[in-house]
Amino acid sequence: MNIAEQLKELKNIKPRKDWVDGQRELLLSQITAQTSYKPQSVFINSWFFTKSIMPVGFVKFVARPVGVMTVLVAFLFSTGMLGVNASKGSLPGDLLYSVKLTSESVQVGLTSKEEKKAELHVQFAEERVKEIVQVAKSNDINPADKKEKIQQAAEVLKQDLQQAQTHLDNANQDSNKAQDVVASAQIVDVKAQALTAQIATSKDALVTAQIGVDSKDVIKKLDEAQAASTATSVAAVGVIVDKQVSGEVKLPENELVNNIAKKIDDATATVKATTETVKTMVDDAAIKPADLNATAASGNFTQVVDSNATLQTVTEIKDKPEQATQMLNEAKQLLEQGNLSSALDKVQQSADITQGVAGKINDIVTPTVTNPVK
Amino acid sequence: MSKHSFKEKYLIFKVRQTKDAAAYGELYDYYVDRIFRFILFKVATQEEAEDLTSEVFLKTWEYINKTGKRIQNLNALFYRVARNCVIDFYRSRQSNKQVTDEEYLEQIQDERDMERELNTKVEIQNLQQYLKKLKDVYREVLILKYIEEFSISEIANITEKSKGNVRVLLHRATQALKDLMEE
Repeated sequence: MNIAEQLKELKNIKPRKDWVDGQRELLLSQITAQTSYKPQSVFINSWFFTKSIMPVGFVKFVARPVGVMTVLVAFLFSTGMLGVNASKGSLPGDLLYSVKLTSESVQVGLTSKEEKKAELHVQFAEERVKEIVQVAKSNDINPADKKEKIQQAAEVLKQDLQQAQTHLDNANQDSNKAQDVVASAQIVDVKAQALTAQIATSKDALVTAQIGVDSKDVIKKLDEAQAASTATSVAAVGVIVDKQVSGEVKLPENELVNNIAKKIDDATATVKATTETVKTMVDDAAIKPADLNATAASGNFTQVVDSNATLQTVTEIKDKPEQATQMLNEAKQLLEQGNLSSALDKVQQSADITQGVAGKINDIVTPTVTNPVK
Repeated sequence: MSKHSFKEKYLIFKVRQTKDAAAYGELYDYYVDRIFRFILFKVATQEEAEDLTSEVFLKTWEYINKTGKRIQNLNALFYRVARNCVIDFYRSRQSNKQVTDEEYLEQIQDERDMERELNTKVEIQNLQQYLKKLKDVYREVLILKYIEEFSISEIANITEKSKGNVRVLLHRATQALKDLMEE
C-alpha cells in the first residue's frame, strides 16, 4: 500500500458521535441567541438568492450589462416621454414639431377602433388650427417664416381631416357597434363644423392683415383645408344617415334633417359669396378686358397677374356658382322628399364646385396686403 | 451535497438572508467530520480538536453574517477559518514570543511533539504518528490532498499559497513522510 492509499485510510477518523450531536445543539442555541433577524422584502431576497446561485462572472458579465442596458432604455424612454411632452407646445418649423406629429401618429396607431381614429384626427386638426392662429398672431416670427409655418400646418391640417374621413368610411363599413360609430360621427361632425368656421376666420384675418408677404399660397392651402373640413362634416353626417337608413340605429328624424338643412344653408352662404366674387370679376373683365392688371375685383382682391389667363379663368368659372346653387336646390328638394343620402351628396357636390372656383380665383389674384407685419 | 452544490448555495443564502440556524445546522452536519479531522492532525489532543472545531463553526457563522463579500467556496472558507483558529491557538500559547506566522508554523511542530508525547491520551496509528512528526505545512498539504481529496487549486485557495508552491510542498511532504516511515 503506497503512502497515498495509507493516508486515505485516515479518512475513517471521525469525532465522537455524542460530541458531534451535543456540539450541534450547543452551536445552534448559541447562534439562535445572538441572531436578530429582520425580514427583508421578497425583491431583495430574490436578488441575493439569484446572485448567490449564479456563476461568479454572472453579475459582472451578465447582470451588470443587463442592468446598465435597463437604465439606458429607461433613460431613453423617459427622455422620449419628456420630449413628447415638451413637443406639445411646439409650432410648425420648430425642432420638436416632428416629434409632436410622430407622437400623434403613434397615438392613432395605438388606437384600434376606426371611429376613434377619426375622432383623434379631428382633435389633431383642432390643434393645427390653434397653431395657425398662434403663428399668425406671433410678433417674433418674420413674415416669410410665418407664411411657411402656416402653409405647413395647413397641409397637415388638410391631411388630418382627410384621414378622419377615411377612418369614418372604414368605421362605416366595419360591422362595429353602430351606436359607437354614430356617436363618434356626431362628435366629428360638430368639431368639423367648428373647424370650418375657424379656418374661415383665420383665413380672413390673414387676408386682411396678418402676413406681410404674398399670401396666395397660404390662402390656397387654407381653402383646401376648409374644403376638407366641410367634406369631413358631410362625411360624418353621411355615416349617421347610412346607419339610420340601414336600421342599425334609431335617431330622431328631425334632428338629422335639421342638421342636413343647416349644411345646405351654410353651403348656400358660401355659394352666395362666391357668386358675388365671380360676378364682380366677370363685370371687370367685361368692362376692361385689356387692363385687368390695374384694378381687381371686390374687397380684398387686387393686382391681377395675367390678363389672358384671367379672362380664360373667368370664362371657366362664371357659370359655376349657378351650378352650385342648382345642386343646393336639388339637395333641398331631396331633403324634403326624405332622401337624406342623396341630399348630402348634392351638398358635397356643391361644396366641391365652390372649392374649385375658390381655387381658380386664388390662382389669378393676390390678396391685398394692407397692414404688413413687422 | 457536493462542495459547490445548489443546495449548499441555497443553505448559505438562508444563513445570510434569513439567519436560519437550521440551515447552518445542515452545513455543520456536512463539514464537522472533515474539519475535526483537519484540526486533529494539527493539535495534540482530541479535546483540543473538539474545542477548536466548535470555535471554527461559530466563527464561520459570524463571518458569513458579517461579511459583505460573496462566498464563492464555503468549503475553502471552513478550512481557512480552521487553519487560522489553529494558528491563534498556538499563538495564545506563545503569547510572550513575538514571531511571524511562518516562523511560528515552523516552530509549532517541535513544541507540539514534546507536548504530544507527554499529554496525548488517544491511541493513534503509526501513520498518524509519522504524520504528526512532519512539519505543519507538510502535514497540512498531505491531509488536504490525500485525506480530504482536494485539488491543487483548492489547497492553494485554503492555504493561501500559489499552486506551484503547493505542488512543491506536496512533493516534499510526501518525500519527508516516506523518509520517516523508512527510518
